[in-house]
Amino acid sequence: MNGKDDFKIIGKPIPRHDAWEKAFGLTTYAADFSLPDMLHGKVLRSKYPSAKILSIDTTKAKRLKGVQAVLTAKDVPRNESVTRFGQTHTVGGGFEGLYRVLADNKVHFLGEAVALVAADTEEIALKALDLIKVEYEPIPGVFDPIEAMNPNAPQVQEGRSNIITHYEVVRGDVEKGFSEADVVVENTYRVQFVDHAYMEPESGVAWIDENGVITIRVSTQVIEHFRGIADVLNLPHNRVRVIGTYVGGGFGGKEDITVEAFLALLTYKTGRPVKLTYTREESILSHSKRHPYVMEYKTGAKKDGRLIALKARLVSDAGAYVYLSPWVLLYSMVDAPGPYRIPHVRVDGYTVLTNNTFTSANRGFGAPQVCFAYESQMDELARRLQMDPAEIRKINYLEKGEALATGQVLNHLVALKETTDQVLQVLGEKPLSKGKIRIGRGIASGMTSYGRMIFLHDTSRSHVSIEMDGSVTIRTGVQDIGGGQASSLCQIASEVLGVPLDHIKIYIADTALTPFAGTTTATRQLYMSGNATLIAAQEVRKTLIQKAARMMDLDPERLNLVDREVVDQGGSGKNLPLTEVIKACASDGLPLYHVALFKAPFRTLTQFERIEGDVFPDFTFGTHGVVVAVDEETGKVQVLKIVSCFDVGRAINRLSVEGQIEGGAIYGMGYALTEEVILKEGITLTPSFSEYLLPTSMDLPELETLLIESGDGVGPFGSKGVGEPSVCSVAPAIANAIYDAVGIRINELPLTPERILKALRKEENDENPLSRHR
Amino acid sequence: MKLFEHHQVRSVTQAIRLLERYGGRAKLNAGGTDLLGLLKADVLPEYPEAVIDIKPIRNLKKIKLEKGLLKIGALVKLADLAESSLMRSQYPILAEAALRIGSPQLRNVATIGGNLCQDVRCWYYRYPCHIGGPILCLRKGGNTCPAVRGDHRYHAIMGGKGCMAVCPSDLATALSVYDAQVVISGPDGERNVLIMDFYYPLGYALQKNEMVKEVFLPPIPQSSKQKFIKFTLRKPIDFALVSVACLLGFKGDEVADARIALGAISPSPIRAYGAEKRLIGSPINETIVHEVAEIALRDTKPLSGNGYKVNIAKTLIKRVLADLRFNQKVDR
Repeated sequence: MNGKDDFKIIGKPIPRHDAWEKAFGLTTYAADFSLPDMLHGKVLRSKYPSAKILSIDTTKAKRLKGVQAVLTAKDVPRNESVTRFGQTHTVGGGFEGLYRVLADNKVHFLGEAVALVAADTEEIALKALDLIKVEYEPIPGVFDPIEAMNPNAPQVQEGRSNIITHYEVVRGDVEKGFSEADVVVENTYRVQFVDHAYMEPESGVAWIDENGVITIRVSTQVIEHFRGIADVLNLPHNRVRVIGTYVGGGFGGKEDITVEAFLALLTYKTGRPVKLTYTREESILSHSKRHPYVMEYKTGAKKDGRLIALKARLVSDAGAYVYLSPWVLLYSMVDAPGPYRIPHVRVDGYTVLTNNTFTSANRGFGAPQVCFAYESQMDELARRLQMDPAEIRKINYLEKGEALATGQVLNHLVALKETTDQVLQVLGEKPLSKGKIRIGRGIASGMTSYGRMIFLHDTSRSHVSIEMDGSVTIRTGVQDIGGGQASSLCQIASEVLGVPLDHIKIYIADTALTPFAGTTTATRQLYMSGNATLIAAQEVRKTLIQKAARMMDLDPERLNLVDREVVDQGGSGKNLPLTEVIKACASDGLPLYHVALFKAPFRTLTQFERIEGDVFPDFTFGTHGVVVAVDEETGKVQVLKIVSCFDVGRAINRLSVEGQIEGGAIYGMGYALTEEVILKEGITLTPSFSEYLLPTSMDLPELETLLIESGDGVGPFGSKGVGEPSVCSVAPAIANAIYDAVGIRINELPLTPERILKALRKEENDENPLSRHR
Repeated sequence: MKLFEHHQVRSVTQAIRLLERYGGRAKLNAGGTDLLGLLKADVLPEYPEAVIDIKPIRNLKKIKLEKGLLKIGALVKLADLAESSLMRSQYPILAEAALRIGSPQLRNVATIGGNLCQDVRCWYYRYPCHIGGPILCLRKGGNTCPAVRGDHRYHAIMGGKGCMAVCPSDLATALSVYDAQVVISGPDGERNVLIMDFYYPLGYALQKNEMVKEVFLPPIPQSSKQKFIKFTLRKPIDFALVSVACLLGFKGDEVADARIALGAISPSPIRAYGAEKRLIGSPINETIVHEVAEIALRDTKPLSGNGYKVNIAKTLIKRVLADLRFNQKVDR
C-alpha cells in the first residue's frame, strides 16, 4: 500500500485520543461509576495462611440492618472451575489452573476470600464482616518453595503435589559442553515478590440489565473471563456480559479474575447493582504478585568468550494457587539462556505451591527473572575472561536464522548488536567518582516474547466500518490498560482509510457488542488486534478503491485514499471525495464494513515436560545501559541515567512507544532497588505504599529512549511489542553497574543498602587482597 | 472506617474536657495525616469512640520568640516550619527535618504536635485489621514483639524495651539537639517534658487526658553550626532509616559546644552525650570523627537483621561532622 517512509499517521508522535480526558480527570474509571439503589460489596478474608475452616456463622451478619446478602462457598453454584484466562482453546497437560471462588473447608493463604457481603453502605458492609464468625484450626504451612518441594512438606492444595510443573529444555550434551569450557561461572540468584502497584485498585460495578443479563463493568485486562464467571453461576455464557473500562494500570495484575465473580454472585443473589473496590491493602495482600525465583546458573565459555554450555535450575514460588504459574515458568524456560548462541543447554524448571499469596502474571511474565540471572552471568564471564561486557555479548548474540535452545528458529531480525552499540554511544564516558560515592556503568540485554504461546491458538477480531459522511467506527474487544491500545488501532485505520484521526471513533471491551479480541496481556494487542484492524480496514479500503476505480475509470492500483479523498497517483490530477464513493457503495449494497479475524500461528502441544520447537510468534530484543552512584559507606544506590534501546519493528505512535519504554525502565528500576512484597510465614509486611517502596517522580534518573525500526516484526506495518520487553534487562544492568562501581556482585534483588553494605564488609574482611577483583 | 463521634473544639480547655469525658477512648485530630490512616486500616488497639478536631484552636498556630525562648504552637504546620525564615536562620535543623518529611501535600496539613505524637511505623503494629489482622504485639495486648524474631530491618538497634519500634518523628530528633521541652496541657494545668523523655517504650509521656500544647526551644549558642541528615531508601516521602542532627559551637578550631542526636534507631531520639563530650575541646579531624562515631554507637545492640543501621548511623555522624568542620568558619 504505502511505501516504507510514506506514512501519514503511523510513526508520528500523536497525543492519544484519551489523553486529555485522563489529564482532566474526566475518564470514568471502574470505581467512578455508580448506579441508583447500588449496594456495596466487601470480602471477608482469611486470618491465617494455612488453616482448616471448622465453621462459618453468618447469622449475626445477615441480621444486621442494611445487609442484603452474606455468601459463603456453599452459596456459590459452581465454586471450583478450571480457568482458561480468556482462551477458548484447551491446552491440557495441567496448563489450566484451579479457580476457587471462596474458600470452603480450608484456607491456603492469608487473605484468601472466605465470604462476601453486600450492604446498603460500605460502613454497614464492613460492620457485617466483623459479625461473621469463622472458626479456624491453624495447620502447618510451607512458605519456601524449596522446602515445599520436599515430599514431606505440608501439602498446600489437597490431593495434589506441591510441585505443579516440571519443565525441561535440552540441547546438545551439557556435560560435554562444560568439559570443553575454559571458564565456568556458577551462581545462585534470587528475586523477590513484587506488586503491580497500579494506581487504580481492582474495582467494578455489576447489575442485571433489562434483559436479565448480568452485566459487569470492571477494570480488567481480560473481558473474556465472562465465560468463567457464567460457569461460576451455572448460567449460559450469553447471560453474562463484561464491559471493560479504561484501566488505571494492569501490568498483569488484572489478567486473572479479580472482583468479577464476587460482583456477579452478589448482584445475582440480591437483584441489585453492586460495587466492589479493593482497598490498597487488600490489593497488595490478597491479589497476585510477581513470582519470586531461585535460579541456579552454571555457564561455561571458551577462552575467546564464546559460550559453550549452560545448566540452569529454576524454582518459582507459585503461592497457594496455580493460576498462571506454569505459563510464567514456560516463558522463563524459553528465555533462560538469554538471546545467546549456546550449543549445550539444560534447563530444569519447577513451579511450586506454597502458603504464600498466589503469584501470576506481572509485566515481563517470567522474562525479567531469568534475565537478571543470565545477564549477571554474562558480566561475570566477561570479568573472568577480562573481556569487555559488550564484546562478550556481541560474540554470542543470536542472529536471524539461528535457533533458540528449544529449537525455535528466529525468523526475524535480532538487532542486539545495534541496540548495544547505540546504548553505549548515548551512555557516553563514565563520570568520575567523588570520594565515597563511586560511579559505575552497566549494560544488559534481553529478549521477551510478544504474542501468546502459539499452542493457545490465539485469535483476535476487529470490526471496521465507514459511515455515510466518511467517519469511521472501530469495534473490537480490546481492553485499553493505559498503553494506548485503543489509540493505536485508530491510527492504523486512519492510515489505511485516509481519514483523519478525529473522524475515527472506537468502541472497545464489551463482550456483548464488540468482537472478541482476546486479552490485553502478553504484549499481544498491537500484534493481534492491530493486525485484525489492519485487515478489516484494508478490506473496507479495497471496496472503496474498486468502486472509485470504476467511477473514475482508472486502474485501482493508481488510487490512494488521502485526507478523505480518492486521489489518482498516476498523474491524471483526478480525485473524488470519499463521501461520493461511499454513497455509491451504499446504493449498490456493497459492504461498508468488515470483521477481520487474525490468527497467530497455531501449534498443538503433545508433550508437556520437554519444551521443544516453536513456542512464540516472535521476540522483541533490546538493551539497557545505566549509570549508578553507589555510596560505599551507606550502600545506597542512586541510578543517575537509564538508556533504553529496542528494536520496536515500527513505532505506530512514537509517543506511546517511548512512554512504554520509559515506564518499563522505571518499573525495572523499582524491581532492582526498592520494591519488595515482604512475606514472613505467609504474612505480608508491606501491605501499603508506606512499606512497599515504589520509585517516586523525585527518584527518576535521566532517561534516554532510542528506537530502532527494522520493520521486521510480525505486528502491523512490521511492528513489534514493547510493553513487557521494556522491563526485562533493567535490573541486571543496574546490578552490573554496581559491580562496575564498587566491585561487588549482589545476586539477590532488591539491591538494598543492607545487602550492599554486607557484601562490601565481606570484601573488606576477606584476607585475600585480590579477591575483590578476582 | 468505622463510625465515631466527632467533636470540634476551639480551645485547649475544651479539648481536655472532652479527653476526660472519653477517658482514653478519644483521639485528637491535628492534621489527620497519621490518624486517618490508622482509623482506615483499624490499626489502633481500640477503635476510638470519638475524634476531637483541634484544628480550630487558634492560639496554637504561631511561632514566636518570647524572652529568648522560641515557642512553637502544637498546630504549626510542617510547611511553615520548613519555610519560616526564623527557623531557617536560627534553627536550620528543625527547618530541614520538617522539609524532609512526607510530601508538600502532607506538610501543608501535618502539624508539629501531630508529628511528635504520631504512631510508630512498625509493620507488625500497622498490619491492617481487615485482612488477617491484627498481629498481636506488646502494643496490642500480646506478650512479645513479633519483630524480634521476624523481619526487623527497620527496627531499633538500641534502647528497645520489649517493643522494637523506633520513634518515627524526625522533628523529635531535631528538637533533641535544641534540648526542647514539650508543653503538655492537662486538667491540672501545664507541665514540661524534655523531648528525649517524651517517648516511653509503649507510648508517650501523655496521660489520657493530656495533650501537647506547644514546644519551646531554649536559645541556641551564638554562631553555632548545625546540620541534619536523614537516610532514606527513596528521595522523598520515606520515614528515616537513620537520621542524625548535629549542632557544634567552635572556639577557634576547637569544638566548644557539641550536640549530636540520632533518630530512628531507638524508641526515642537519642542524644549521644558520650560522643559530644569527646568532641568538646578538640579540633575536628579524621581520628576524632571516627572515634566519635564509634562512641555514639557504642551502646547499640542490633537485632540479627539490622546491624547495617549501625554502619549507616556511624557514616552519617562522620559526614555530619566533616561537613560542619568544612563549613565552620563561614559564620564568624
